[in-house]
Amino acid sequence: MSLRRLARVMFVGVRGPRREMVMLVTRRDLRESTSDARLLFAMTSLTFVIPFVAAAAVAVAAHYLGPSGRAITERLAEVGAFFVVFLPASFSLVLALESFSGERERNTLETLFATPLRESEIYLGKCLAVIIPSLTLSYAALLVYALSIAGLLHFVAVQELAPLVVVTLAQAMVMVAAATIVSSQTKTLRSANVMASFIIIPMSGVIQFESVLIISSLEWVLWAVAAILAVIALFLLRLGIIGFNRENILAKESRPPDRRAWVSRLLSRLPRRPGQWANLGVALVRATPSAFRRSRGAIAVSAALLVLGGVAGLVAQQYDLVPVRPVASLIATPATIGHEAVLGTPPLFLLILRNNLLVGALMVALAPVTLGVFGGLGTLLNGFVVGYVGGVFFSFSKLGFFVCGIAPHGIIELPALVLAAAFALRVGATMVRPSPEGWLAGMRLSLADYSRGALVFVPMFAIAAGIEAFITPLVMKSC
Amino acid sequence: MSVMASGLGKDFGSFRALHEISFEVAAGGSLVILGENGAGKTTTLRCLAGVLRPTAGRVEVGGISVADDPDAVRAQVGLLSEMPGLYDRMTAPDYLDFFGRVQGMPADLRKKRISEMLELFGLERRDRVWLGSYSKGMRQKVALIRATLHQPRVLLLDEPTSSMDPVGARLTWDYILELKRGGIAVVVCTHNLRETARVADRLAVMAAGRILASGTLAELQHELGLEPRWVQTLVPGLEDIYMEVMARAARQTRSMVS
Repeated sequence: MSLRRLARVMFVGVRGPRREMVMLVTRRDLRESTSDARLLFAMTSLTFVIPFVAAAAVAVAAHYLGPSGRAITERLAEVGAFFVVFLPASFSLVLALESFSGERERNTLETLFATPLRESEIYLGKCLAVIIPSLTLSYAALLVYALSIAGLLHFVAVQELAPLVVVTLAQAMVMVAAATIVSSQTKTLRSANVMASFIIIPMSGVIQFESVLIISSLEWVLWAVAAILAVIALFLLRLGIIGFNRENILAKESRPPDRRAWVSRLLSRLPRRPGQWANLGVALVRATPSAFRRSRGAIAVSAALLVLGGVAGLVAQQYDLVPVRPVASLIATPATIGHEAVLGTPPLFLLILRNNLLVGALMVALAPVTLGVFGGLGTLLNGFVVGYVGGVFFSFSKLGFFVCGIAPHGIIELPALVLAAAFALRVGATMVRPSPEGWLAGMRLSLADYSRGALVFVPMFAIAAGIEAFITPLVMKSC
Repeated sequence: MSVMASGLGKDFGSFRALHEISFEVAAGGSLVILGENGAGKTTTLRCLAGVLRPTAGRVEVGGISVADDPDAVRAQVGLLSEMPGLYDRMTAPDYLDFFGRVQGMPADLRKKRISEMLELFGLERRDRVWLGSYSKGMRQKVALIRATLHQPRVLLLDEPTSSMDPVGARLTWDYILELKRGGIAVVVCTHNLRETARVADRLAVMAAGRILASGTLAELQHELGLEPRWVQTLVPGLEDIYMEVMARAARQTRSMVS
């Protein structure tokens, strides 16, 4: 897909940006961020001092480890590179919060909104103004670090630097896109900074994961990490583009907060008598088909992720890209789920059902903070495991046995998982794409639709658990 | 008609901010909207400026519907919000130049207008100073220059003189009247009833998102059954004395400089 076509897809449904206007906003914002001497000094000094200190630390370690510890030194040097570039890349988060939430707090965003500038131009212009300095500083830091390492230790790991350059770009994009979403959901810079921990914590996890990959000599996986981060960044950018509009942002300032009234209204609507509960049940059942119609897109995305995961798992197994042990640990076996869970017994049924319901509940509980990504990852991971295990059995020409072990319950369990993830995805999407009736109304509808969907996927989980506990073992014996 | 609102309604979720707002302002005419905080004045201005999309009714600016082409409406409107919303680390000429570019003004026209207007508002000597160091009143003046730089057909003002000293306020009202005479339609929201009389062709009093009363001053007096009566006023009053003192001080400074 060409960049132009990708850009067109990103701006579907909104008025596309004009280049000269984007550059106008970018130049102004760049000027703003570079005119603060203290900030500029902090950013540049950290960029140039820390890489040198990190390289010196690696050199000291190399001195103590000696020639025999050369392999460890090289690994340390590579891991150091990740931390060196992460710091300037994380400036993008600070700059983005300042650029979006800060402007909103100082009322300068409304001034921009009152001009003929399109939302997409303001959004893109600001994103560029944030990305450009942080990436420039990141790459400068990497250069300083690489030169320092080359000078002190006389080696440059070029093959590891290439994915690092790409991963850094993707990380910065993810942080900026996430920061724009956080900013559009908060009224003040202070609350945006607090909410930013939802970005920093997962990104720190990504950095640690990347370090583990390097230490485990799985550097090639960095390309996959970069690709996944790029997809997440594009997804978040798209959500940011949709969420960044005059109506959405200014409406938050105009609507008076009336949380107490909202809670009392909600409590007054709760059924009190058994008859009212029955009526609620009937209403829920009647509204279920429309909930599925509204969630068609999310169901398609969720199903596509399952298939994608399956293909990725199969490819990973066939080309030996991922070791067996981590995948095996994801598979529920009597050994991993406890001694009491013996095949063909009620405890196993209850255990499987509990696990599936827990996953479904976690998907929706975490949807608002992960924007539904947790649900998507759930289906992706399940698909991956099925594909991977299928690949293993295929390698031993035991595909029939695999089908016997998966198909009886999987034919119900996997669609149930797809549905649970899809409804959770909708809850996550509502966080950044409020309905025309407002954010609260949209959230209420998506949560109500999740409970309507649960009327279908919870029984499916129960049936699948029953089959898995009682029928699948018998089928496998006959295979 | 330069500005027309017919049955304008605006909802924010379940909260109805505006109910059935209707009025018209011709080119060169003016409407002053009065009302307490939270009456819906700012929301009305934002709907007129094409910043917020009306939930109900129709809003037209220069014959263009806000719902159909908000970008075109924003190009015809100058909006001054209650908070000036300036970039603190920019000088006034740079700031105004940025907004002139956004409005698509040619470079030479931008330069000419910026220098003329800074001079008009007495800010030409501070053109190398960052806006962050400006006083509240000076910031309000820069914001007014920004709103009128591109010579809009409609000027929407939310408390235009709220932070200004009497001299600045008088200068601003004179400027607004000058624009009005030049054919610009003006809609002003204010709490300041004294200022209102100078500029208002028509008045609208709002509360809880509704227009409670509207018309010319005479029409409202008649409608409400209030008899006009003459009141003796001491002239020169406090404001005139203040103006005279300030004018003498300015003349003295000029003569010392020359």
